[in-house]
Amino acid sequence: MTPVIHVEHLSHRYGKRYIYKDLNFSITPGKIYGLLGKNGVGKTTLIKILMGFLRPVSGRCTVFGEDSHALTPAARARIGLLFEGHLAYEFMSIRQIEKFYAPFYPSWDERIYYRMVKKLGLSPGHLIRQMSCGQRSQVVLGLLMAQQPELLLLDDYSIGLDAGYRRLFLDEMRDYLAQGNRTVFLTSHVIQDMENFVDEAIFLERGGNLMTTSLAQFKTDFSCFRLPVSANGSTSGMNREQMLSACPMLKNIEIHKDHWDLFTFTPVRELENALKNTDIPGNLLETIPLSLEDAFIGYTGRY
Amino acid sequence: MIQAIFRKEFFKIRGPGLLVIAAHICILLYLYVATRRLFMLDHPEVVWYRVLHLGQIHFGLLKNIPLLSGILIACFQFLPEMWGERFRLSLHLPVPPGFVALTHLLVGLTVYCAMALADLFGLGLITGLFFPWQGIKISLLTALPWTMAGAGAYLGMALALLEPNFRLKAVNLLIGAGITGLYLQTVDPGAYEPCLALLSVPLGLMMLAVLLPVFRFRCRRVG
Repeated sequence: MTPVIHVEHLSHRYGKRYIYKDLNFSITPGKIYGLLGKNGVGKTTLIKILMGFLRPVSGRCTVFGEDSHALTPAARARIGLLFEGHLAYEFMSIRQIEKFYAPFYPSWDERIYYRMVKKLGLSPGHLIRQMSCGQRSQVVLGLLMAQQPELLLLDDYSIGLDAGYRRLFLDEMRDYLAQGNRTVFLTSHVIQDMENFVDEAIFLERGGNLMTTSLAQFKTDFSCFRLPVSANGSTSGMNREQMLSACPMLKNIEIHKDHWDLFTFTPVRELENALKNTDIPGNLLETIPLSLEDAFIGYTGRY
Repeated sequence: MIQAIFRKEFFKIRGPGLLVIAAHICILLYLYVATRRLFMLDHPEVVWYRVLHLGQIHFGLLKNIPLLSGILIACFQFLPEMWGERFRLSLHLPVPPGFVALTHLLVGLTVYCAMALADLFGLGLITGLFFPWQGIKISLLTALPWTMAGAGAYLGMALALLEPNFRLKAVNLLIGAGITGLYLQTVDPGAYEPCLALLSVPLGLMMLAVLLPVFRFRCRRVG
């Protein structure tokens, strides 16, 4: 199956600081992909590169088989792009902005747009600049849906939205996806919303390390084990870095006053054995249940 | 699609644009009063002699008005686009970026030209009330380069505002200021007449030059 987005050996840097080095991934049609990562890992940068607003230092990105920095108008017509902060022309009203976009898209369906903005209970003459962030998000999403794009790119759709508007946003997305053969690539900071929504999660870390998995699989495989701090005393004063180097199966360690939380994809038995090899009493490990958000923070680190 | 962009630009600049038009009307009214005053203070033949033979300009106030109007229209048009980089919204539309840029410029220049023509018409009318036709001709030939300076200022500001790189923004401002300065030299009334056609060439080139910052904005390399 031809990928909708294909990223190959992508590198990008700001000044001397590399955001990614040799980033590779593909997304296939008909699925919802969530790009997850902490602030500053380059999620928005990646969206900008994919939409051709930024040229990468090296590597290649294609969208619908076309180089992302040279997308033809025909390819752009197939892509609905939500800019960070629900960017819109705020000097226009609900009706004016619909009239502005409509002539550009051959499959434009104004009924979809007006069905969505009707929920806001605002008059068509209401100016976008007089709307709340949530109301504006509904208008912007309505514009994207009316385009009937094959690919939706949503850059931090949840920013500034309360729980109600986030839910409304996701419900609208589900209706859109029910029409079939639609692909969504989104970034968000609200990890809970992703749980029952995305098919595949792409975890992006600083430096460009990347892991693609389903969230269900991630939740099943990723674990946290708590080690009481008294046990650390018997480990020849190992610090965090030494521990990570001695137990390479550990993804992350969070150090607290009276305990260490060890995050890993490895089963507890293997971890116990590895700890014993470093003279840490692995049998003291306590399994800690994780919510998706806990697991995400455990995976990416707190700061 | 051109119509859609024209409509969007109309919604954006109609409010401030009306203020600029109101300012132009006030200035033309003032010009009428000031010209009339000349004839109240002196005999008509003295005023005619000063204006038609000695080259006194009775409408000097108009010299910098087109320049200011051009700058203001560019600001009203492009500052909202660059605020939060909203211009990306237009550049993601399924049309070539050059088309988007030129249509935006066409809107701005249409608004500017409408104002400039109204100014020239008003100047011609006011001059015609007090001077013979030679006076109208020399007034319009004197004011025309100033009008071109306004167009140059509009394009220069567009060039600077749309440029994503701050250093190049400064360079573009200097280029815009330099070209605009060409039309504002202190010369005898109507002295630009022989080279008016030639002076329109830099404006055409500036219009094409605006495509460069737009392409850089659309597809910039940072690294």
